[in-house]
Amino acid sequence: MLYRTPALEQGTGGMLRPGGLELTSTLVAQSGLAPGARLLDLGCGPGHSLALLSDSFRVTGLDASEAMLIQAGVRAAKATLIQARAEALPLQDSSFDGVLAECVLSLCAQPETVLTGIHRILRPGGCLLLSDLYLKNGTFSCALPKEAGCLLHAAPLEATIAALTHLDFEILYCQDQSRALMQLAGQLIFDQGSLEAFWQTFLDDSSARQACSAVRSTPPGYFALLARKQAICKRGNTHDR
Amino acid sequence: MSTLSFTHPTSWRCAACNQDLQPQKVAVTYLHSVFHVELMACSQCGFVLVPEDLAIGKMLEVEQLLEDK
Repeated sequence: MLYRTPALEQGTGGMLRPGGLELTSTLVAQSGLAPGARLLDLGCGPGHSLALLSDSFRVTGLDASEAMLIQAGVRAAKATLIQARAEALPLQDSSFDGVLAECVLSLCAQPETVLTGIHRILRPGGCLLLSDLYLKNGTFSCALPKEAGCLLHAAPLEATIAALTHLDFEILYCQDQSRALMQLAGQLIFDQGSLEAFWQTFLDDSSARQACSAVRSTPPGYFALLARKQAICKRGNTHDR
Repeated sequence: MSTLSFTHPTSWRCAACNQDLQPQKVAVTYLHSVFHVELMACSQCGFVLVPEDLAIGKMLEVEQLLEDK
């Protein structure tokens, strides 16, 4: 998995995420979550956001990677940590006031399943703090290598908003953050020498050229969004345990 | 965010100040993006030396990236 690559530590400070903690803080401030609120960091990785938020909120970090959770435990000793997949959340209904999902949805082959799970575990009136890649032009004009990570499952922003609306989320805030993505890409170029060299840190040469070509021909964007679970749902709560 | 260093011993000096160049943290700005790097610079007037390989390599690719629509 790309974000576990040690080679990227210097250039990104360990966070392969556009906007870094500044964007996290912006989303949290916009959410109006009260001190002490129950906040889930979905796909917490090595725990940078958990560390930022653990003094203000009752934070839980969830990640599929044990190695990431070990790092998260060092950075955020107060956080509850759970090893699980985003598609199968082992959490009770309405057990969180907020869910933070930063550059995670695009890693999931079944984003609708993840969003349904997020909706289930949020209390009515709770909020989703979402930031991720999106496709500006519908699809990549060139094929992506199958190891291309988050690019493989990036979706048009309209599709993500439609999925959230279908689940009775109210979109409170949506802002294009593509400049942050460009900033991160620039940092990776300074660190690695070129974007192709960046891809070569975890892909073979042919796949790296393929990924580079696809992104150059169809540059993805990045967005930040805040959505609130309706206090009164239109449909009954049907969910899998 | 960590600072990326591109400093190497150099025989280049600041002609205006007659000073040796020293590693210095600088902010490289282009089209609203800012990158914090360490380059050789004059400690007196702040004149920055950008190595040719950096200018036509990484910096050029960053400029092209930021100019993409």
